[in-house]
Amino acid sequence: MKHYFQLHYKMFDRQTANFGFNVFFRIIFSLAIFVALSIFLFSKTEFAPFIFILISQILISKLSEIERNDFLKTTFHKKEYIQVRIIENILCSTPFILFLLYEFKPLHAIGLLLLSISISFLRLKNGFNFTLPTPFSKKPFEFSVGFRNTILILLALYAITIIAIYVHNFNLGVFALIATIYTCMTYYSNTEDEFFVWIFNQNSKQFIISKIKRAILSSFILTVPLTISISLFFPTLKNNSTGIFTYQSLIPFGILLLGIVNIINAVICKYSSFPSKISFANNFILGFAFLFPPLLLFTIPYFYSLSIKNLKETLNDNT
Amino acid sequence: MIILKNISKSYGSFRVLESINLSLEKGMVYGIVGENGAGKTTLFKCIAGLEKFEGEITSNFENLKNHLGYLQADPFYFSKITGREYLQLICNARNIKESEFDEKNIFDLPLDKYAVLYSTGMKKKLAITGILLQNNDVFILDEPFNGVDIQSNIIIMEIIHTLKKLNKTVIISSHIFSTLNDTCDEIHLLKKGVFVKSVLKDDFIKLEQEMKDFTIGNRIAKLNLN
Repeated sequence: MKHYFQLHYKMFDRQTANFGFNVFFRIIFSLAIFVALSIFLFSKTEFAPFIFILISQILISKLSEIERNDFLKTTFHKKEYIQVRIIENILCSTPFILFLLYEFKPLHAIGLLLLSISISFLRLKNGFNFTLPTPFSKKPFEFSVGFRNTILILLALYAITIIAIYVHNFNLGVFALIATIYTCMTYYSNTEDEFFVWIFNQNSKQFIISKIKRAILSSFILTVPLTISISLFFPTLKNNSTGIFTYQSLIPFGILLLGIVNIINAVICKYSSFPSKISFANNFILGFAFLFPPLLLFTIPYFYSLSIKNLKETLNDNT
Repeated sequence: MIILKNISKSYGSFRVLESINLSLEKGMVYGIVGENGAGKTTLFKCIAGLEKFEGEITSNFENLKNHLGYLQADPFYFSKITGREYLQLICNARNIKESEFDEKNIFDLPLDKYAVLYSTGMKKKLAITGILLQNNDVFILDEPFNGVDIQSNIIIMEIIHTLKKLNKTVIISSHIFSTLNDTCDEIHLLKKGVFVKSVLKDDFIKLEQEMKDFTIGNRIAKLNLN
């Protein structure tokens, strides 16, 4: 069992080495992002602990996939298998539990711990048994694959938007919209096999432009309903001290516009290291630009020029 | 016509291909045989432009890769993409407006299931269907018969005959000699990155016997089976 966890650490270390960074640096960086996002969530809504528990359980449920558990069952004795699964789930839920304690939510923290332990005994099918239909089937693949992989997250975010409207919490609705935009960005986080670029009868510029167009249209399908709903239900905001009304309904559209620019940034970032995976440095720049939007003015031309250069070889583009 | 002139390829200090010369004509089917690691897939990737190489490849096409259908030995599929979406992606990539996938599903594949859940043979059949829908002029088929059931093997052989009749160029690698015997006009034996023998149809049987003698040698006798 000790060897199993050492092996996981080695795998993590190797993945980190591929990014060209020390394992400790990556852990600290990941934790910093986690803490920043958590603080943002807790500052925006009173429902944050429940959203936190939901997100943690969606992530942890990935460890309960049948194929993975069948392998563990055939590798370990029954007692060891249960121990491995409980330890895995506790390890993965630890950052969430610690943050809940930091926020003085001990009951939620205990609830999350118990839920994580009980989920260790579950064996979940990898995804759904049936083929989930998507509105993106005519233009595969990023959104059709991403939509299916994140359907639970999307459903949760849509549910949060409905709750936001119901409890008149504008910030909560904005959080759901930003999270949906971020989810769309993650669809471009994995670099495809070189073959799936090679097959295109396009030069590198045409290829990137068509990918960007597709990303914008597809992300509209997921984000516009949320944007319009939030706008309609939160049309104006009255400042109690001055008595002045502001057009709050414009804010979601501004966020959507900024989100689309971020999605474009994610598309070109994906090809900035092609055919290799996105480098750690470029991933960092992408994340930082998401948190500090003025940076997009510099990252978009930078990623674009790198992508064009990298795609030329695979697409045999001599232009 | 495609001409390969002095194609060489190295990975670090390891030489995978050494001065390969080959002319590929329209309406001809070429077989490439060789042991695992002989360099067949690397050669195919060089022709497709998926690998850098030394030497020169010229063709009548402005950009050969846009007329080339490449069946990989182990086709890759995304985790949650259906067979139908895969075919759609392949057609979109070449601006082909195709929607009659059910009609052209000659291998009776479950197109609305996730391709990653297909068996090895089904994955190969889906990839073959994809490159056929692209209306390519040149086909590289890396191990098209591997893992495929006997009925589908018959269909694939018939497809190759049809492609030949349609004046397409086909290059195949296979470990099943009989399939090459039935489909190829020329067979080239690749050994440690070098073409050691090239034979025309009349000498296929002789080549097969030579390969058998060389491969088996006295290996079985060493077992002292009683």
